[in-house]
Amino acid sequence: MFESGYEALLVALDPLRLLWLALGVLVGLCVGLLPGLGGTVGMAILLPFVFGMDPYSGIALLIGMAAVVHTADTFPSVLLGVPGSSGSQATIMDGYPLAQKGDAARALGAAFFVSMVGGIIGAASLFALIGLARPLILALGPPELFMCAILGLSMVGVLARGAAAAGVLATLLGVMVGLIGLAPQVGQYRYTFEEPYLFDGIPIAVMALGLFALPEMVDLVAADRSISRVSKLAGSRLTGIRDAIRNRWLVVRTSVLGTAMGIIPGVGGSVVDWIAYGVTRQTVKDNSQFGKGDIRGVIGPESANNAKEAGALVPTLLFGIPGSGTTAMLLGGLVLLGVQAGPAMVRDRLDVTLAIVWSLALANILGTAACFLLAGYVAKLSLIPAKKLVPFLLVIMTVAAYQATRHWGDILAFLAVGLVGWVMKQVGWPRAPMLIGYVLAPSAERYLHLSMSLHGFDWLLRPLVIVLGLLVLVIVFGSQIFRLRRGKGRRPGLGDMAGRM
Amino acid sequence: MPLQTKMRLSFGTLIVLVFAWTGWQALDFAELARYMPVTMSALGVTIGIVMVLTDAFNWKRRRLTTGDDVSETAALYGAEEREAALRDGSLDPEAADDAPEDPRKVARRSIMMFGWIVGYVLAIWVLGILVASALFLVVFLLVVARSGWLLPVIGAALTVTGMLVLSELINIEWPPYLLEGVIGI
Repeated sequence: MFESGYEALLVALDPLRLLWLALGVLVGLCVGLLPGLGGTVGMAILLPFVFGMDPYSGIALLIGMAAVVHTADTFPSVLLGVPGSSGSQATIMDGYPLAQKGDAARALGAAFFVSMVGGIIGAASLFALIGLARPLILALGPPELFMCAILGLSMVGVLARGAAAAGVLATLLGVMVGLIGLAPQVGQYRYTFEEPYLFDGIPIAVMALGLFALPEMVDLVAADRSISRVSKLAGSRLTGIRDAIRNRWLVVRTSVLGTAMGIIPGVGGSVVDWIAYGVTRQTVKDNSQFGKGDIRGVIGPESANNAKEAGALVPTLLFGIPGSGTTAMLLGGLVLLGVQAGPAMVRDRLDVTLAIVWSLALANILGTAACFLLAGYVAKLSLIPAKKLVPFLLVIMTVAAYQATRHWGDILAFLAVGLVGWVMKQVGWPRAPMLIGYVLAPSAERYLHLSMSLHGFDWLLRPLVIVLGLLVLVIVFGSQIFRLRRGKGRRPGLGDMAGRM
Repeated sequence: MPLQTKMRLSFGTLIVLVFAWTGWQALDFAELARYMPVTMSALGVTIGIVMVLTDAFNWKRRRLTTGDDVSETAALYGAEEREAALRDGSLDPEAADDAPEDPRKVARRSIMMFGWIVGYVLAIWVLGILVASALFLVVFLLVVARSGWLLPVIGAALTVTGMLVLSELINIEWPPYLLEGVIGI
């Protein structure tokens, strides 16, 4: 195995393939940098080019792009409070407050460094899991996947502490928005008003941009200030690296968590950053500054979201089960390259699988280096007065929103969701739970239905379901128990955090 | 009652009505498509009513509904506290009129910003996104940001160029618009 790994490294280090990898990284960085565009868009851009390439070069191009989207998407998350892609939603919880304090460069430095470490840990985990993943994936049936969705929803308990009722209502609202469109079990359209645009539901890019970007832009102009409330940027990128090294075990913990969540098809990838954020907040000492600009709130989710990409490749490559839009398109790309995903990837095409592992690791290093070079300049964006910055952002957001399905409905939905998000922000309703509810609603409904159809109520007694259920209880009630035991009294609740989200 | 409190109570009530409507609609769905929306709507109505009543009670008792839950970055942050301070005399009304955090002024500016956004979208509908974006950038930067001519002109030119390059490179598409036959970009 190690010999094959060494040979695959030599293949991956071929100058021409490195060039393809660098091109993929460049596209990934651009896609990540533009809010609303994610890995799926990047794949869509690159797929037409891989036809006819040799498998290693094609893989270098595709994996190079997919590996670094979640490195570059930190820029908008930290500087604008807008998720650069679905994997960096939780980064804004503390990244944006840090930017407001003038610590944007520090947050970016920490985020890029841990993204690289997370990506490399993920690649190493993928290498280790190649032989072990089969029993793990086969153990996950619809009941376990449903519990994974509930695990994601339980993050609401962490995010909405201090505004529990509003948090739960926001989640329910998100779930209802997530149910718009075709009901998977019976083929019936729900809440679509017979509008074709709504038949597939509201796209996630539109939801994220509307909920987070538009309210922030309106408020920045209304308050007539820049993103940073201080006139000079404080911490440097190196301070961020020092922060990351100081919290090295947190990086390792959340990277492993990210890889593990990424393995779960369909559910893990979409909420891994929230789960990592929740776990980080619950397990560190003194979390009173979370939501107000605690660097650990950036380190946790950023370590996890890059590691997740490697995890997501386990079911994709070994079983042909794509866990996300990006990996689904990667499967298509592999077919174009003449590679058939499935158990044979370990048996007959180990060289290709290992080349993917190396491409992942190398792309993370390249992407981080590029982001480091850019960070200092990009961080200065946070000092520009809002009235001069916002109109440009509005144009970018509108273009990005329209690319979701290329329908006029995208722009109108962006406006409508933005208005709801702005009101929620003003009146102290947390917005993050709404997004989580929206993301998880379809999979929760589908897996619950499958669980009931296949097992009746017996699925509740499956061992892994019980373990995941206990985990949900620990997440929901754990912090309260710790707080009572430590006798810390009232912790600043959702407070400003909720509104920022 | 402060603007923020009114907004919170109205928004809560509206959401309760939305949940009531979604639940009502869901009763007509096929059985398997009904469970999730009916359950969620019922929960939404129940928790929503409890929350609105709790907010109303908090307002009556403490003159505060948003409490610590509202964001420091929200435009209306501190609106309730400000009006409470005016009521109990700890804030001088004359000084308060000029204070930048006057919620009515902030709300006016927010509504105006939404107006700009709606205007931009209408311009896209009529003129197309390229022309509308250039026009929006120039007018907004001149009128709202009060900048000189250089930034609006160069900014608009660079933005439109960037959009054209993107559309060539990564196959980005633009929304159809009314005057497409006339403008033709």
